[in-house]
Amino acid sequence: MVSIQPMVHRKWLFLLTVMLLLFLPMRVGAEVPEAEELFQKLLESFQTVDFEGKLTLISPIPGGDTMCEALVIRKAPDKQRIEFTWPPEIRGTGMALNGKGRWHIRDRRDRERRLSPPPPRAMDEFLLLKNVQLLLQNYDVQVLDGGHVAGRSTYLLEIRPKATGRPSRKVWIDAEMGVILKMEHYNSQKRLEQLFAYSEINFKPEIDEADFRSPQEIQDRERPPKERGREELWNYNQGEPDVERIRKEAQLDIIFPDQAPAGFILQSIDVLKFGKLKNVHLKYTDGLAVLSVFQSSSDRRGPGRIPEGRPGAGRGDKPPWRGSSAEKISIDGIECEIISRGPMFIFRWNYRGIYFTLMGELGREEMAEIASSFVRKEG
Amino acid sequence: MRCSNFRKDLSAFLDDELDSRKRKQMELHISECAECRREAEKLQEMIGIIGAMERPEIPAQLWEGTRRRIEAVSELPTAKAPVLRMPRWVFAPAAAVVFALLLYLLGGQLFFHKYETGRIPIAVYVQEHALSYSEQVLPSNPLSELAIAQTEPVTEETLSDQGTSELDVLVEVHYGIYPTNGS
Repeated sequence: MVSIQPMVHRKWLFLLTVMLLLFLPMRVGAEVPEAEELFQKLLESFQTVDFEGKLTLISPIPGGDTMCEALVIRKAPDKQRIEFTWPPEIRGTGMALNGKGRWHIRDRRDRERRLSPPPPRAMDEFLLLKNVQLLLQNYDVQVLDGGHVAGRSTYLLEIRPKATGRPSRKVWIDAEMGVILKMEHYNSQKRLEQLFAYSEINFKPEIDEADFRSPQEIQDRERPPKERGREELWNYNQGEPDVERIRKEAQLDIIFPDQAPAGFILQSIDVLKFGKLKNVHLKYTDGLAVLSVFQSSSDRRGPGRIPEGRPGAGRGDKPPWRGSSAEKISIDGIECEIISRGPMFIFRWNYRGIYFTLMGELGREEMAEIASSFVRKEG
Repeated sequence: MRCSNFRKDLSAFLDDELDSRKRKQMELHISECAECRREAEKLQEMIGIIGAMERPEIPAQLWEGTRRRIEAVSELPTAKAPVLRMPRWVFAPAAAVVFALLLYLLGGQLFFHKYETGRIPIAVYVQEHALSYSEQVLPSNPLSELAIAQTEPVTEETLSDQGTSELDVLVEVHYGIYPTNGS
């Protein structure tokens, strides 16, 4: 005999489930902002939000995880200090910056030392907005309820590439303040490469200005920061690049592809002069991933020699890092060396008196296609 | 001797596994290079810490009790001895699970939270600073920055050292770190 009471319960349960399924997505959808709105909030937070927080960074690597913890102090719009609290070997070291420069708090030789200054703010803001547009063009961006991180309500930005072979991200953004509280970085093979998260964060910190006073300022407050060896020839703000002018100024017959790689824009062209090194740097972006193409005269290296190696005497021919692997392939008949390191591929080849170094975190096939576009152009 | 060669053989050097010629080369290098000396000291210290880790004392009665139980089982008539019947294929996975468990218990503390001094700071530096000072909306991949952080940021001083290559410089530039005069 079937009891009537359980049937009534099942009916109510069924109705409740249907109602939940119908209304829950609407409720969540109504609460989360649009992706553009969230990016805007993120960019505004750089300018306006002060905080102090404990940051944990974990990088899964073969054989174990790399992990560290740091205290981060930020005073908007341009001051920040990161001081490591764990592991003990690097406790007390870190980096700091203010509007004038950035420096090691204490490096491996126990000294404070200036690093290159940050780029000008005005260009950043313009390019950041442009890059948001690019990112939204090239990636599917979804905003979800991210739950709580460091005791704060968050929105979760899921950024997935529309094309294969590109990186993806998950970013948890403080719902009220717009600061990134947690991020997971996936490489072009969808493998988690890195995670960082704040375990504690205080948006009303008592900040000591002395934390942002650089050693140089102490010695000479008015001395302007020096940046050596970098000369900008062109950036995206200046409209179409004048190729001939750029070649003339660089004193190098730079090769440009017919088109930028799919989804990418050319963001800047710099000349790097440092010691005996001179390279022209073409920097491309799709809003998230970055591609660098370095070109230099291959004359100084001598014909037929493998050019990679240390500047000056004793050029080597092996990959420069532990864990790197190198192979040689042919791209449109040109011998090319590929160095693989983590998610990054580096392609190097000699062509028409120019030595190319292409680097980025795209898939190998797409990188090879991009390398090919620099060969075919003049072929 | 180059620093890279020294570091490759450092572990064997500290374990006294090198021949006398190689050992002399290492000793000469360590006396000349402060950076490698520090590296050696750190590794030596780590070896010391691991070596000094307490090993649990095994109570004497544990073995005594185990022995008694083995003897009790062996004294039972063979025909009546309890036999655990399992198919042969079970043993290999079971052994693998036990081995993995042992590996985790013994090696976990060594492999987890592994870090290398000098590699982390630039990773987090680029990660965090890129948020406000790069042309990118979101920071670029820090794992590659771990690679570039194997060497200190390039200066004219470090560039003249043997350990920094042109490619090191270009990778740093790719991530927005430009050479400075190191002042």
